[in-house]
Amino acid sequence: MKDNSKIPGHAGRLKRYESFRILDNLRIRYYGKLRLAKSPGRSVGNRVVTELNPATEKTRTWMETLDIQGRPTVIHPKYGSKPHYVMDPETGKFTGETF
Amino acid sequence: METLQPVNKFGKNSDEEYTVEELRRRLEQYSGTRAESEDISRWAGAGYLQFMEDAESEPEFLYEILGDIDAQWEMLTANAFDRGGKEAAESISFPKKYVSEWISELDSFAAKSENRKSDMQTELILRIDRHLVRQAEIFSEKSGISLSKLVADYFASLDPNMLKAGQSQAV
Repeated sequence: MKDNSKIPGHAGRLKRYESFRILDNLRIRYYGKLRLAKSPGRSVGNRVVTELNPATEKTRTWMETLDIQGRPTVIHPKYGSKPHYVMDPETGKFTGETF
Repeated sequence: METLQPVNKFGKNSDEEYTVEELRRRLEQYSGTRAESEDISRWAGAGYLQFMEDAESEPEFLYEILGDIDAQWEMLTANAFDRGGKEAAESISFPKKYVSEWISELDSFAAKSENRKSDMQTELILRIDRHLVRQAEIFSEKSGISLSKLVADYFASLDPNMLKAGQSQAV
């Protein structure tokens, strides 16, 4: 079993993120608190996600906006000057539209 | 081991200072424009990500509100896109009602935080011989240590384990 305490920044993130999961490629995704929308529409929740690549110790962070079933409707990377990527909740794929 | 270097543009690399006063200033100056909405959400998002990666960021309630501002912006623009496409998403701004709610939350959290601080200390009235009080005051003046601290330090030095069972010890 891997010792999670050796993962850089892991202990600190456990205090601030709600949950995490280890992906098949061994990257770790940390999920922030889910916030509910004040605005009406199909997008009802949003949370921050940080992904750590333990091999390089680099992170990348994005905000994901979710529909009522917890499926991403929009992804907004928080690195570089990236736009909002509109997702198709049914397929989980990028629709090709941005704003 | 290499130190973790955040790569996100809006994270720790930001030189912005995040304070309750600065957030209040930005919210109170908000007049309802798109540019202001973008500016506030970008600033708040950077602060929130800084908090998420930095254990030293305080007070926590400030970053909770910053996180909510950024999240609401994401959802507001997403829902605007659903209704009217790219043009709608790129022209919408925060309703003033949202901003009023954040100011109220800020006031509420700040008041609770102040109450918690004042609850940490309480007054204690002591009946002590006047001569002893004068002696303590002179010591306080010469040493620069307040009377409150002198008494508190003495209380802190008391160890219940030093008392024999069933006995009390006069101060």
